[in-house]
Amino acid sequence: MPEQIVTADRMQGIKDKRGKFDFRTIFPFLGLLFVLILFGIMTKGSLFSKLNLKAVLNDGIYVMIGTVGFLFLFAQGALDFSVGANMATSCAVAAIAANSIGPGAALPAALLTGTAIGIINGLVYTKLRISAFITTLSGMFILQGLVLVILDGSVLAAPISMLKWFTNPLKLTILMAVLIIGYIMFQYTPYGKICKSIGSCPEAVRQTGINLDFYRAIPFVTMGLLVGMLAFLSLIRTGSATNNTGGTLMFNVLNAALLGGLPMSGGPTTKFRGAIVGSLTIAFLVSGMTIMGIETTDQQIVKGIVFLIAIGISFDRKNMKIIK
Amino acid sequence: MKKRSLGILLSLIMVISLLTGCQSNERATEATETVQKTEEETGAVTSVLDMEAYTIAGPFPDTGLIGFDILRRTLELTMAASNGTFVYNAADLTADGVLSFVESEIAAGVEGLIVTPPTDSVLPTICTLCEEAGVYWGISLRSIADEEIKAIVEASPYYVGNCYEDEEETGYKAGKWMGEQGYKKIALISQAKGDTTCDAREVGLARACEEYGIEIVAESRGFTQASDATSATESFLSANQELDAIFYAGTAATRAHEATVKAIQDAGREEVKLVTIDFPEEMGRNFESGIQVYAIGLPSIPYDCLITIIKVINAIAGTPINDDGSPSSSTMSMLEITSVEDAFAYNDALYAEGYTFYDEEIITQYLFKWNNPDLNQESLQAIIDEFSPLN
Repeated sequence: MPEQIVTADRMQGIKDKRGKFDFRTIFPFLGLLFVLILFGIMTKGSLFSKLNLKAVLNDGIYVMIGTVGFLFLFAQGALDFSVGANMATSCAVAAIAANSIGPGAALPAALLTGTAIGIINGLVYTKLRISAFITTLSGMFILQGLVLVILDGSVLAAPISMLKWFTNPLKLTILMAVLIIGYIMFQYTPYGKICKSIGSCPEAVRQTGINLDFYRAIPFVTMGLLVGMLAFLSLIRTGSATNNTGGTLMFNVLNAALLGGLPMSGGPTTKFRGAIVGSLTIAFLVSGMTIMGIETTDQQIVKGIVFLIAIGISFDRKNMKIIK
Repeated sequence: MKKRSLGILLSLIMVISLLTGCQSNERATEATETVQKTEEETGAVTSVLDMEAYTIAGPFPDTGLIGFDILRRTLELTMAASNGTFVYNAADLTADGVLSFVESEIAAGVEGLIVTPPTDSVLPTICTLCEEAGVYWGISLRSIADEEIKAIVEASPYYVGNCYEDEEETGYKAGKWMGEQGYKKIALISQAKGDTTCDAREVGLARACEEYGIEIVAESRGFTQASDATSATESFLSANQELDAIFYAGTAATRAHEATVKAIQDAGREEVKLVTIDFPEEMGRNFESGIQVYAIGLPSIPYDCLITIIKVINAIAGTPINDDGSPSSSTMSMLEITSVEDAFAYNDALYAEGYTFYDEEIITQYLFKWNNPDLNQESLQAIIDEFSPLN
């Protein structure tokens, strides 16, 4: 009899130790693995060539930094639709500063503009109690018009000397700094933990005495600051500011976030690794399709299907609330 | 267990990436070796049999214009006759988009590129990228307005030159025609300021407007679709009762001109005329309606893309247009259409089944320098000057 009981206990322990298989957790990694293997084989290794990795870095840096900023918003269950327009506006202001004051003024101008727009978004969201969806969507339209006014409907070139700044050491330094600081802030600081708590239950957070409005506004400021950085990078890469700058940023960042398994509902299941995995997946997906000669229109279809699959798998239907 | 699984997965990713990376630079290395072999062992291609396989890529906008279909057919002949492949990749024509296109195609191992830069500021970066990769490149549909950038680009041994239209003169001719008709108030439709093509056309137009006393009473820019044209036209018509014409300096929106014609007809304001730079898809019908009365444009929009591609092909083969390898700049003469008959004749020629800019015999005999050693900047310009679908 005791032997049968021991056997039963052992079986129970094995089942508990194995736990429940959660496909949503490993889907992002499977997706990245699939993309790397598939396109690595189909491009005969060109996907991992030095030239292509440089191209992936140049495109992927926007998505990766943008997704880190989105992380704090996602954790709360919020979105920011104005990131692309913010980038265009910040880039325009940076170009003006570079031409009128000097190239050295471009970075502070971009960061300040992006941050200021983020502060406005945060204030409207918290003080006027307008949902993030409406706030940032309206902000997008306003900024799109504003950048046309700032640039007089035109294209503004930056001093040619700035093009030399877009070097691999600079890009990698900025990227690693954002990733490391972002990781520490998200995982180990009260800021990150409170963002996740707000996504889980904002009322509970308020009841603990934490300044809810402050912590709901701050992610928009973080996002704005990072978008300002992206605007500066775009300016020194392209040498110009246009109203089209950042046009695809919102979609690419959202796609990357969802591919990385970040839940739109926010909460404690929001993981930093999702930002990295999703960004890498989208970057290599696009790169692989381009190397294979798949036309841009077909690429859009593929990206749309991937987006749908990512949503379908990672969408937390049980915990989804109305988007804040 | 979960962490172990993730660790195994990540390790797999790393291992597989290392394995597939073994072939990482094979195509680029092959291309470099091929070019070096061609240059060192043969000096230059002397027949198509010497021509190693090559690839050229171009970021043509996917506007559905008939001209790009004609270019495709012509390129099929051109590439088949020279052992080449052309990769059509409709790229986003923003500054970031063009740079991404160049980087991606270089990484894919192309031997040549043509670009249509939205601004001059991207050209130094493109120049550097192509030089580092040993990729020949050229510009189509644009000239370089910034003198400093022009000097940088033209100093590059991998820049083959461009083919473009004298946009300022085109704008002036269109304005001059309107002035001679007695037009005094026009509405302007154009691209966003900073688009070098439209900026140059507007400079020419401004010169004609000053000369003939024409006033631009309204303007709208940056259409992305035909419905933008409809909205703008309706606004022009309702705000300006004495409008003589709507003038298109340029647009990237497909069938925008046709949308304008329809909007004028729907408003019952047929006295307002349509004048365009570039030829609409339905130009014959537009002229037949009595609303479009003048068009000036390239004999066919992507023809200058073909010329730039020819320059790139000859450079890859080691037989550049200019013997010293310096870039060559070619200009297109604009064609004026002022009658329904010419409009239909033009459309009929363009829409003829299987129409190509040139047949394979002409391409092979006259446009490849290894078959035509006399080909140079002047003789190429003469070939361009003679081209017309109406001939």
